[in-house]
Amino acid sequence: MLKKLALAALLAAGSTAAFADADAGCGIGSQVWAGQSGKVPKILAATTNGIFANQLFGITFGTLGCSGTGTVTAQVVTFTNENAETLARDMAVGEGESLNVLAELLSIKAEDKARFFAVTKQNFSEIYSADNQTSVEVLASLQSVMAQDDILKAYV
Amino acid sequence: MKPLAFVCAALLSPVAYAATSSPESSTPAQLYIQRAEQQQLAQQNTWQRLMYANTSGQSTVSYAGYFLTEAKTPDLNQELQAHIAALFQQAEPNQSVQCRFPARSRWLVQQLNIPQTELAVVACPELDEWIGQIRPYKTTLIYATDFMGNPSSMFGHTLLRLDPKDQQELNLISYAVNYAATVPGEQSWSYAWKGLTGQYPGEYSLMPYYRKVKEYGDLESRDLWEYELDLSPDETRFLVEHIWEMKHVSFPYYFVSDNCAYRLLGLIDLVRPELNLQQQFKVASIPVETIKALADSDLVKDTVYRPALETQLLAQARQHGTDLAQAAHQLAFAESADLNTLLQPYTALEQAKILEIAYDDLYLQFLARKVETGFAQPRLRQLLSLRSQLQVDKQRRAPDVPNVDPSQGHHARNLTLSTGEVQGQSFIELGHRQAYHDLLDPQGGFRTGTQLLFLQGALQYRDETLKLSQLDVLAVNSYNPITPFKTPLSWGFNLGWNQEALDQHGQFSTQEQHGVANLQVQMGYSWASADREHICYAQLQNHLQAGKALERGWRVGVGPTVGCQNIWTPQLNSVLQVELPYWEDAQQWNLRLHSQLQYVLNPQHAIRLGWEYQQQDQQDWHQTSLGFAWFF
Repeated sequence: MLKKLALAALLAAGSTAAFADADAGCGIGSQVWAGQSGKVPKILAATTNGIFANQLFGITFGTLGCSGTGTVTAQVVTFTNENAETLARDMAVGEGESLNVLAELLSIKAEDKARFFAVTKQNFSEIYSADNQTSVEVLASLQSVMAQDDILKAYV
Repeated sequence: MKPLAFVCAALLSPVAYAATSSPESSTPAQLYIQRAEQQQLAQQNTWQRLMYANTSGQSTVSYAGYFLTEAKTPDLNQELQAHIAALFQQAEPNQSVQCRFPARSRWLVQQLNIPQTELAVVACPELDEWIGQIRPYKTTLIYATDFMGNPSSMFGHTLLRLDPKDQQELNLISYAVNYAATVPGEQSWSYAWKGLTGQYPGEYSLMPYYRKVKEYGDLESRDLWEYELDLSPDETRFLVEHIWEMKHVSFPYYFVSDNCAYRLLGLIDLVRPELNLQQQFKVASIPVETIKALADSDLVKDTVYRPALETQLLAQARQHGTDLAQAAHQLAFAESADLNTLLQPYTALEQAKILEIAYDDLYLQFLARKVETGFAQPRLRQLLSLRSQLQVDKQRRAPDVPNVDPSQGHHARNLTLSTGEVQGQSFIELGHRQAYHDLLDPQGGFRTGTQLLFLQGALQYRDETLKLSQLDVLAVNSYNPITPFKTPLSWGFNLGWNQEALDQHGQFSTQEQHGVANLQVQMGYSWASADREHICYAQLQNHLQAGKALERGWRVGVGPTVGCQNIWTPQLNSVLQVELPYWEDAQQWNLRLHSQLQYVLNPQHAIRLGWEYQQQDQQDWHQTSLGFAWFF
């Protein structure tokens, strides 16, 4: 599994967002505002939109140095990275819009979703353990949790 | 050989090609060009709009790659003929007109009824992949509500979301199309000026919708409204194909007129040639007004409310009570070792509520950069980890959907007619405002506690004279109430001109009025009821006035102000404000009371009752009025 997730070097020193990778290669996450502090720059940066100019028409999933294999596609990594705070928030309570999107992106069938939600909630502390500093590591833990489950292992 | 030679000629000079048409040289291209002339396709709305033609029939696109012909000012008729000719020409993958200009090609093929078999066989792998990712099926207009923190978003923002078929639950990963000004590098004070005068290029961009949800909903605390448009899958696809054609095109971006909302209306006009929505917004396009225009054309099918994270947090505080909210706020910032001790007195259900609130609170503080990453990151995980160990279902309940969505609110412009008495003299007053919303206006569809006035004036007729009684150039007020989670500042400024109760020597007068230019700045705090229907504030206010009647030509007044905005019922609301400036020239306190009561007949019509009172130098001054407001 870990081999599956041996993706491009996504790690960069430090992390500016709460959960998301600091590396801008895989989506842009929260780190767009890195290096600026205080309210005014944040507000300006957030409404500029022009900050995305370099990728105005990019197929955002998969063309930003982000790649994946198997069920963990580039889109899964990007989504997990850019929505890390919301996704973790959903996972800890066992339901929510972004958790459902992740399930869909992992091709989990409708009848197994409830199981996916329950198992990820139960193992939240492992999936989002303090050691997992990047989305790729979070996804690796998620996969190892799923691999230990009778039903979810089919999706690994 | 003849057709081949012809193709070369066309490639070299597509313009010359049209002239060579004669009945006997009946190549397919030529036949269809004749047919296009008969049908007058170049004059049709769709072609004119695809070419961004102005009223004199010239394109406003400055990017040369947007055209096939190479004239300095492209002739739209020749451009159409060149395009038809090119439909029959072979090209490298991704280079044919079908690949580069799919919307134009589709429209021409449809209008001219050209069978696929007659067209050149081309491959467009890039376009196919792009469209394949988006899978456009329906179009949703997204409205990000107004945001007083930034001049360019005070009037809100609109963008489009392109949804695949039957994937409502996956809207987060739909693509969003955004039209915005590209602002290079650091912004300075010239930002506003450049934005108003069209010095930034406006461009389309495409991104996953979740990125916009995060930007507006999490970072800026702006609720989103999603209006599903009544466009067919074909119309949506046509729109998306046209976006592809706009890849390198930019237009001067004007914050007030030719802005996001204006361009998006243009896209709707393009796919619905019988509409002309853009026409209504030549001078100013306030995003929410453009949604009203779409709704008036029956283009809005379904409305979805997506509350901002802060709205969700405040809803939780309301649902679970202030005590739990305060416990959560304390927990979010407590020492790690104390977390369990702090949670212990509560039941599992209460713990779940506290932990959910604490997470949202801390995450928002983190986004506002009020807390160090080194603290926030492990703490956020810790809170969720504790929460995941509780066998309790999610306790966050979705905030109530506001009764009135922004597209049903009052219009930005108004006209008021009122009559009353000033110091025993009767008057009639006619007022007009260009935009946008004040504390007294019908509040449905707007954020309570915000006021944004642009060009509001009134003419008063009294004692056989007509006077300009007031002119607000710009007034912005944000009454941002204190919550269990934060203590934001409430602030405001007002730049304008008004009549003051002064004699010609600048002394307080119960008989005379004289005009002064006025700059007023205020800052303080506000408190609100849980549903935000009652907001009260206390602020420190500074006035700087200038006018001929004033002794030195100017004066300064400083003092406290308190006030309340109350929504008693959806029909009845009021605003009360007391100001107490100390005028340094007269060395006197001046008590001023403004009160207004409004009865809302419907969002666009209201009756208003007003009373103003002033006291200075032991003299009283009164004004009463009864008026009617019409929003349009």
